[in-house]
Amino acid sequence: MQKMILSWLKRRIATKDLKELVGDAKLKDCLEVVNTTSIEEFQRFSRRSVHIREVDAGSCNACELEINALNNPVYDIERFGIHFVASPRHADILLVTGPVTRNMEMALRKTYEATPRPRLVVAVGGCARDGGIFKGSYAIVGGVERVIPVDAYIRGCPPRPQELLYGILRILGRI
Amino acid sequence: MDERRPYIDEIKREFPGDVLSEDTSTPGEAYLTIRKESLPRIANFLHEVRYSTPLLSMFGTDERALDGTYKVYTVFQIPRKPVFIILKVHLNEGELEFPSITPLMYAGSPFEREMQDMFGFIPVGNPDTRRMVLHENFPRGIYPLRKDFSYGSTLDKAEGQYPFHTIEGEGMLEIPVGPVHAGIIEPGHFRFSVAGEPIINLEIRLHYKHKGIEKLMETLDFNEGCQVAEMVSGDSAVGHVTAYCQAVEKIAGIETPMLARYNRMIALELERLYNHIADIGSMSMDASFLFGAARAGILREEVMNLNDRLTGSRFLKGLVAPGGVTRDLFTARDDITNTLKEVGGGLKELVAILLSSASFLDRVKTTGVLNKKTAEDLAVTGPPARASGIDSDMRRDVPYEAYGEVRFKVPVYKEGDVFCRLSVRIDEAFESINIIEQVLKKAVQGPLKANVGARHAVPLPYRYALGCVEGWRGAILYWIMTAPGDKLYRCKIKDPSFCNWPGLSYAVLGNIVPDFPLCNKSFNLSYAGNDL
Ligand code: SF4
Repeated sequence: MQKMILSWLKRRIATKDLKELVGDAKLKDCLEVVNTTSIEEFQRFSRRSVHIREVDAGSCNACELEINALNNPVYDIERFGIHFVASPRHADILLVTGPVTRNMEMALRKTYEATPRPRLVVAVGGCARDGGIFKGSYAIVGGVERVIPVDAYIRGCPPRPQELLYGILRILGRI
Repeated sequence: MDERRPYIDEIKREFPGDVLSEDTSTPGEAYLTIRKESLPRIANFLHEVRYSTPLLSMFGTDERALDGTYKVYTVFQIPRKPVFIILKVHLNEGELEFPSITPLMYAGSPFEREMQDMFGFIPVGNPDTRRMVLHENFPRGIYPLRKDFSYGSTLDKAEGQYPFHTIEGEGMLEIPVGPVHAGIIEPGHFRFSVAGEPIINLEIRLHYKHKGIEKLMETLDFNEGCQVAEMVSGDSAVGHVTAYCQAVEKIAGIETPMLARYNRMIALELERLYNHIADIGSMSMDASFLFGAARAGILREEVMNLNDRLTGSRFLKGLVAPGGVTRDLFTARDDITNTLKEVGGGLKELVAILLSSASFLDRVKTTGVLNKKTAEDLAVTGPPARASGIDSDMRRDVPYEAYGEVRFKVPVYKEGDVFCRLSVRIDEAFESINIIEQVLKKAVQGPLKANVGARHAVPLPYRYALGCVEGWRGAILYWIMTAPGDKLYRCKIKDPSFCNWPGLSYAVLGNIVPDFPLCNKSFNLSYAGNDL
């Protein structure tokens, strides 16, 4: 077993070059900033590590899987000092997915209230924008902005990991 | 001879006078309209006494527009046979009580509670009458799946407290977790009652993600419904949309072209592969074997990128459509073969490392045992069922698409622990590669899609059929009834998670709380698919 692990370590590194990941000019379409002031303010102090709390408010779970993929060795978001944390009390950014269902409305609001300022809310995916395909349902409240203020949107259904990475790094002013 | 006949005859013989009528117009499905009072008895006969057939689904319909009644359908599959027995009970307006099957078969409970919320039916005898789908914020007295309730209704906000079960006693402690969890996962509430370290009881409360999908379906035609089926549970997009399309095709009487069937099989197996690899990774992660998680992450990414190259979607969305598929994966035959060769090789190495690590094995063996009897009682399907000794797999038992033409093994283990669920997934991942290789060798030509347009439109409204797929989590079942103008009158979706969640709450009993994430990952259930 040791031999096998050692032979793997010698292989080409799986983690992709940042340029390769976010170099595509088309990527800029995936980000929509709605509150420039709050983002600029945020950038001024977030020079070092940034902590993200992900909140699923009713997604189909594909958005979660792509956010999760950011942690795998290929994208490895941790190398930029960006960590996903377990509690909103440790978070700087809330990454919210899904149309907000009635059954999740209160939990989302409480999570937001538990997040210390300065904080940003980034809504991910078509559902989070305006409810997406579920718009108008008796069981949903609507897009994320119906419940908490949103600073930026990352579009897609679901957005690819590259798009998420691009969006987050842009919001942080890193690229 | 019709395979269904002996079963229908036997039920009629055993329960004289209880079967009011039979309908065998949909191939493979036998609908028996029975007297309301006889439901628990006949259900129990099928489930336990005679065939130990699993309960696959149970749902209500509002057919007042047709014959003035509501109905309750209870779906069973005869083990290892492509035969579905569907018991049908009529409920008249104002008499919405029906005898609960729960006291005899526990698997019925969540289905009955769902009907209670969505239709206002009253399952008499079900000990658990708490609301389930509609949380406290929904006002009482609304029944979303009744036809007089509209999808776009705006509802008032109500308040209340959910009456959790309380476990009392000296030294008992309650640990509430969720709905917002620690990881990047879906929302749900887990309430552990512990005495010291071991878990004495786990109550799982779900439906935080209820979006009204079944009601949404009723506003759509069957082409539009296809897109929604892909969004029921994103990680099972292909499984869901294929089951959906099968039901539509059965109703419309369409023969799906061979080429489309093979394409669907490739997509279904790719979906199984990337998910199983992800699960192998997350089980390593939760056993603190990070190396395994990292390797699995890389391998999974290779499959996801292959999906992307093949269909333009990392989740293979947009491929399956009523009548067939929208593109031909055979044109990328070399790409698929080469990628899978690499992934297969990598997976073999990873598995060798995992299974030779004593500390890893120590964590997964004897942890989270779900015994066979409990799994049967709960109607668990998929890898958790096969890990507990239940030998069932829809691909083999109801060979849909062209699964009858390929050879593959169905792994079955006995102990029902995390290790067995891991082993089922490992074996199945390799079998998926094997199936895709066999399919790619087929030389087929012809159309990709049969026409399901106006010309072949569903001839009569109010026809119904089942679609059934062995998704990577277990049996995905769609039951569709059409309305005039190609619309959907009712679409009942059953994700395997719905029956497997209770399985998890039994598997963790007696385990320590720190092992819960590991047990949970070994089931890896969908919240979205459960909550609809
Ligand atoms: S945006 Fe798309 S992928 Fe994300 S939750 Fe909605 S349907 Fe799923």
